[in-house]
Amino acid sequence: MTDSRIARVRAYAVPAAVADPAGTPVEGGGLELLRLTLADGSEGVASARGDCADAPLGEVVDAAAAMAVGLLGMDAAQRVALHDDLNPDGEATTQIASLCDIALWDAWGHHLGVPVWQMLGGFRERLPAYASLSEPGSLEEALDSVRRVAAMGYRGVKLQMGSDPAFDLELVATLDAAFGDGELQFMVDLEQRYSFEDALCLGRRLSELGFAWMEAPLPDSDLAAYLELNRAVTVDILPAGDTLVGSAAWLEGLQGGAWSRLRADACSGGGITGLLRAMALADALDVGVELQSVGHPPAQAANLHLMLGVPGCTWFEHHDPLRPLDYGVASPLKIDPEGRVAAPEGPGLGLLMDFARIEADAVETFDSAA
Amino acid sequence: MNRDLDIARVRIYAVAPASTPPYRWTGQDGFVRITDNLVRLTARNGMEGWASNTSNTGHGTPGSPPPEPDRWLADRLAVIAPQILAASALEREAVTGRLLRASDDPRRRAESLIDIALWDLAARAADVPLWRYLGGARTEIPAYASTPVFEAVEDYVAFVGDLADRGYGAVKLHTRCDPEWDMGMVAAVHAAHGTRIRFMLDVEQRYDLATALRVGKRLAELDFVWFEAPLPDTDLEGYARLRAGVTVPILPAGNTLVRPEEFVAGLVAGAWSHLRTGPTHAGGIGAAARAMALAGAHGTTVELQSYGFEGRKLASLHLALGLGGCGWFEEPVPETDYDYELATPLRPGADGLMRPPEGPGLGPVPDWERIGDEAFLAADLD
Repeated sequence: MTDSRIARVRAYAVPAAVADPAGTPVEGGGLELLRLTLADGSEGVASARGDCADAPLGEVVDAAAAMAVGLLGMDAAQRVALHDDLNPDGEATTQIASLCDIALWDAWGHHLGVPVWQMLGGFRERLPAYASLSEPGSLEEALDSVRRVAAMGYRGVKLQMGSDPAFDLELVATLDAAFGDGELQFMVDLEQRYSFEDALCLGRRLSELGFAWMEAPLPDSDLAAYLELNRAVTVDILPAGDTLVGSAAWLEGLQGGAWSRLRADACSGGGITGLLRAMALADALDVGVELQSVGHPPAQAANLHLMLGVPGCTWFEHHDPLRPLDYGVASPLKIDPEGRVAAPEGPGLGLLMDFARIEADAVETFDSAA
Repeated sequence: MNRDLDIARVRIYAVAPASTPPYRWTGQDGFVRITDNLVRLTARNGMEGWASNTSNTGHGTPGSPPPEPDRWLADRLAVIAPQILAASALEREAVTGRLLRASDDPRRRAESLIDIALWDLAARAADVPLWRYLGGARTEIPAYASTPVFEAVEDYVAFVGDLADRGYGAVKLHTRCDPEWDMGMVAAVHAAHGTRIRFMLDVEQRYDLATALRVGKRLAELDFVWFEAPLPDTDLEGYARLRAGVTVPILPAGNTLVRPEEFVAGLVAGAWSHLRTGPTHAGGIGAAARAMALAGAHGTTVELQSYGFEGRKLASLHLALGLGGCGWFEEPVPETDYDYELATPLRPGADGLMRPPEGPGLGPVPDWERIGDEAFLAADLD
């Protein structure tokens, strides 16, 4: 067997002006990439979520530099051991721990020549994608954006809203009037900005209109209010999925009935190892899962492989396909004519990274071999 | 998708190994013959995967000779196996999910074996041991010796002394299941060897609550690792009351409640200190992995079952090492009773630790020619 130990740790920070030239609405937008190289040359990558407004560009580079000594020599086969070392019982998982886990799964897949989704169980080859759109400035803008993504083939659309409850009510009615007879499914994401009363009002309306779900009406940590809301409306209620992270928190949210489905992200929830556990919990409790996939393709791909590898998810979230974030990757994730997304061909996460370009554009770099 | 690992042939064998003596679960039961049920999958590219599990019919009749070897698991395998022909080992979560949803058998043992064999095949195709394929959480795990039932207290004292001499850190006692006798035996064995080996007691769901409370308190005083199956597994309320009344960890037998929602019910009820199940019962590797995640979220672990032949031991060993979170590995003793499938026995080291065998997938493979010759039931589907 060839050597699957980590031989080199690198990290890059590419500013938003370069990595996100279209200017996605995602805060940040810069690429923060972790790159692990095994002794046999197999490589793995992971990128930070695109919306870490509280994490200045370069956080991953600094964290990789601080952790490199501990990572070097670690066998990619023993990624669960590393995960459990980095995420001791009861502690919230850190971003760098999640990224290490994802990059190790990717590298391990390359080492074996097996796609990650097949290593996880090979549940399905593809699943439908929804277009996740930023908050529109007007009803006309919203209608225009929805028409454009529908023409691209998306069968689901999620709109960010939450700034103005009165506008939001008007918006969902407008969407229903324009598309209610068609096959498009709609979701809304309120970014934890509603009051309980506003959430109840919109939730009742969405129930009437048959929306697929209402996401993040309230702060994630307010489980009691989520439970009350979930009891009062028919539409599925999902949290944002960023705050309550880790097995104990997921269990509390799911078991108490606060959420209709679990929402989490491999890039913040303990990587692929952490999310496998989250999805196992949801499965045992007969609750569905909607994973996030915000950010650059490595972040999207980590979540996509989980959705394909094990059961539980219904939709792949494609962040603003009108302004795609596909910098630095020769194989961005695309939908097929039926609006579904498959894993890219190839082992690991299946991404073809343009490292030469990323190295040239990076404003901060760490290299354990330097 | 690559179709090289599509299943082209399924072979099923049931053997009653002559080297495995008739077994009884408690001192009140008759003896039964132990059947070894093996499933062997061959992919289109010629690669193979396998799995095995024991079965027996009932608990025997005291004073009567053991009944004929059991056939239900092999028969059941033959019924469901055609459903996986042309399915790929690369899509095992879909394949096993379909089998489990379509199953009208509340036990999941046949489906479990198919799933384990698919994971073995997938890991062999990647040329990597299954424990590393799964996640490589640890490289070794302490083994406990799981005993047969003996007639006399002195037999236990002598037998446990030998186990301690050979490096075992713990022993699980199967017993007469007569509470007064059991407590006397436990006290004698503890007095003789308690300074160098720890204990579990398994009473096969034969106590009532008051007895379980009384014995449980005594076992706590003797620092037992756990008290297994004092009550019927389905008596969640009884288990919860028992746990509230004793400090020794309480485990179920793990053979009856095998579905995820049943694990949830037991954990939410506070019925068990640890979950007990195994890949051969819960629905395979994927299902057991999910049970382990569920236990972890509840702040506890799964103590995996592996009483049986090497195939059953290997599946649990790879899971325990691959995903972590298990305290102990169950080794049936005398070890030679369950050496049947493999040329090289699978044993803990002299330090009492169990380590994975060499080779991809589950590791070693049975001598299929010999197994085919000795099988009292065989099926070949392609």
